[in-house]
Amino acid sequence: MSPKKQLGFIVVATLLLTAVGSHFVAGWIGLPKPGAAFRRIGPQSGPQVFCAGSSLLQFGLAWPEISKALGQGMENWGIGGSSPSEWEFSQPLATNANLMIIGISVYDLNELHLANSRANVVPLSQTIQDLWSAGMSRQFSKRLLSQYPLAYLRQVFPTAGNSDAVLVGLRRKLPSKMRSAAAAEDSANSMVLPKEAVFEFGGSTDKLSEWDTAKKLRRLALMRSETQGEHTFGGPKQLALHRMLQRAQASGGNIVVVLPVAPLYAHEFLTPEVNLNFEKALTEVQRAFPAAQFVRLDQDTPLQSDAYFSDPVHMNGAGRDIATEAFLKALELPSQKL
Amino acid sequence: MIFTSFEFVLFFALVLAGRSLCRSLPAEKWFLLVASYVFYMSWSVPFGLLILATSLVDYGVGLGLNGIVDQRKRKLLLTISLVANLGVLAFFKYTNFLLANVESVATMFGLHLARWHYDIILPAGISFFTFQSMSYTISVYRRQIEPCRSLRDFLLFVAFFPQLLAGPIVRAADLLPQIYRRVRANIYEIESGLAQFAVGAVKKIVISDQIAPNVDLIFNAPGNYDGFTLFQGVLGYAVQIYCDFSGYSDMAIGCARIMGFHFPENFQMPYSAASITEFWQRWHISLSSWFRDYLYIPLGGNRKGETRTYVNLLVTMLLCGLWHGASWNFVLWGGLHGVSLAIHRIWKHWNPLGSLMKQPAFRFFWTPFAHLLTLGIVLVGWVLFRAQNWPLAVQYLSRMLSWSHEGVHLVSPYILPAVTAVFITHLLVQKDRNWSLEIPKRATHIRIGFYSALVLLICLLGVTDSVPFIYFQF
Repeated sequence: MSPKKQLGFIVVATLLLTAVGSHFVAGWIGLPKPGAAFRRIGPQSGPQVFCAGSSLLQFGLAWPEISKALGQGMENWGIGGSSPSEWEFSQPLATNANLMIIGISVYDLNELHLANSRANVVPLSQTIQDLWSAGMSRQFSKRLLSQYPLAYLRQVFPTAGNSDAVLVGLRRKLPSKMRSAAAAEDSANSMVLPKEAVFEFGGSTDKLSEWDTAKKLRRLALMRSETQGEHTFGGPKQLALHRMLQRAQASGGNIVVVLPVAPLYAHEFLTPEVNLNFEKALTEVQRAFPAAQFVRLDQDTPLQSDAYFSDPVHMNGAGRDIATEAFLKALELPSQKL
Repeated sequence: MIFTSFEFVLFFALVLAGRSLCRSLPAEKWFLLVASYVFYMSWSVPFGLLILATSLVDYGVGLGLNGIVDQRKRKLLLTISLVANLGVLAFFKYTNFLLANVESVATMFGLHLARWHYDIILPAGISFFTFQSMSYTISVYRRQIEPCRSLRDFLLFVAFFPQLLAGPIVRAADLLPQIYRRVRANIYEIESGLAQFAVGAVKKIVISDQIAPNVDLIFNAPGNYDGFTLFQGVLGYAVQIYCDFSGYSDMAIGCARIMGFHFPENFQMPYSAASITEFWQRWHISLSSWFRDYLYIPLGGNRKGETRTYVNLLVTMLLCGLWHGASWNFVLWGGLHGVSLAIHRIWKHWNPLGSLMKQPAFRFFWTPFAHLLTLGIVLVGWVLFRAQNWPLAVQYLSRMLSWSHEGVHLVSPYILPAVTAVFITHLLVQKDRNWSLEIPKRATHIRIGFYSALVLLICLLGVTDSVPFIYFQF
């Protein structure tokens, strides 16, 4: 074999072996496949409620109770770490919806926090259009657009760019004897999604207030590394939110639930400037959609405690109960003022 | 455009394809020159003009030096080049540092000056390209090389994209001859270049970027942590900066080799050094040899007596520290290394253990001690280097060295495995071997296994939201 052919053979064999290895690890640790997971609850007949939100909304409210209170079935297409940019593409799937409940938070609407499978859901043309319309920075645009080649690469190497998920998966799989104390602690708190297609996420008993300081610091460091500790609003996510509300308004009604984050997260990342910008973004939405009902759970005083959160952004079972009660109460009242 | 981005992969593929289409050597050089400026201007367009301006000065000085015999005029020309390069460097890098120090001194004398601070953006890689360019004019002045007659070739020498942003600082004597002739990589060089690039990518995105958030966490608030955590933090930083910078160098050398260009190695297992002198022969080799040849030796080196040698060492290392950044922390870091180098030199001359060193049993215990002592000095240096300011550095060192039990005890699941992997590699691997050159000579199945392991590591543990290389800020 000539040296040229030999190098060609080595390159092909290397890529092939790597692809096999990557698929094997992805399967072994149960790496979630990109795309939405459909879940529903309540009566199947009649108009449905389309629930759009990330895991903050899914874990934050007791959906069976809400379905019962509204007397309607509820549908949700869940995507890990998602935001309006991704939910927008589930909206046309809810063909029989007369109401949209959309859950947003300062964490979800942060443009710098990107869903891992965004490029699998949002077409490139839409992303370019949104980046252009929102006048986003070159640095951010590069970051967002680089997700597209990565999505293609993941067809062959599913673990590429998923190092956090791989590390968590490996720690779960490794025999308990081999785990370090810190690793076990970290994985113990990871969110467990329901295996069935039922829109009921249960209530976690973990309490952020009981985390030791080291664990809190490690988690905050991970969150900081993703966004450089910054929050920006008014980009592609905001544009997608407007489009969703517009569509939902045309086919029924809108309830916008503003979800809280843990005081730990707020203390670490939410400067007065960030809070002000978030409020500006919400005001803009409310001005554009005056008919939409806003439920501000983030301003609900009882939830201002780390004891009601299972990690810096997700509510636990106790938090969920308080939030659900407040949500149902708010449905009986006219829209809360921002 | 950093080496680990999709953007660079696309850029490099286009460069390789475009270059192969160039039929003549001049066309190829023009193509590489344009590509290099596009690469740099992807960071900032105006700063592309800055490189062009300093390159034009040095090109002119080089030509001028060739035609002049009068030594005073030659010195004047060299001074123009040094003032231009160091002036640019001083303006962009040291203006605010200088103003802040003037203000502090004035305050000490009871004068209250208005607070001066200018928002000056530091051009990426300025310390590297100015030093590379200065090495050319100094070499021409010393008549070590002929001046470059082609402006295009000279511009390409300064701006050649693989080493432009963070080195290695390639001397004119090494790179210009490769630019003058048409170089092409053979299959072996392409394979070893790819291997070196992959090793660099593993160092950068699998190790350095993975541990960076935890290291930052510890260094940002050292007062919050106990001694163990702080020790872990500095070990983590030692690994982070090594993998970040040597990873960049590996990728730069790999890219160049794929195109047929040969750059000198910049790192050679530095943490395996048994003395601080050996450390500097293995850490950032292109910079330490630059300072040796263009500062230490002109100052007199070791030719003007022992005391002067120690002063020269100290001055060289203080300036080396200042080269890294406009802060007293960097100066102190340089000072620590300068003093350590001087002490090591005294020790070698004194040689109190000369007879004992001949006994294998003594050497058995002494060698690990020498390694640990060297590593200890380097780690203390990294605290000064990384800490945000002097009080935080003092706090860090005092809590770490007193092994404080107060504060948060944090065991990072990222830092410890990375530190273990890197230090085991330093211990087990023969330190003067270059694996990227050796692997392509091995049997096919070994090569496939080695490359698959590298690519799989990138696929499993690589951080895709890559942070810029640490040395870009220098």
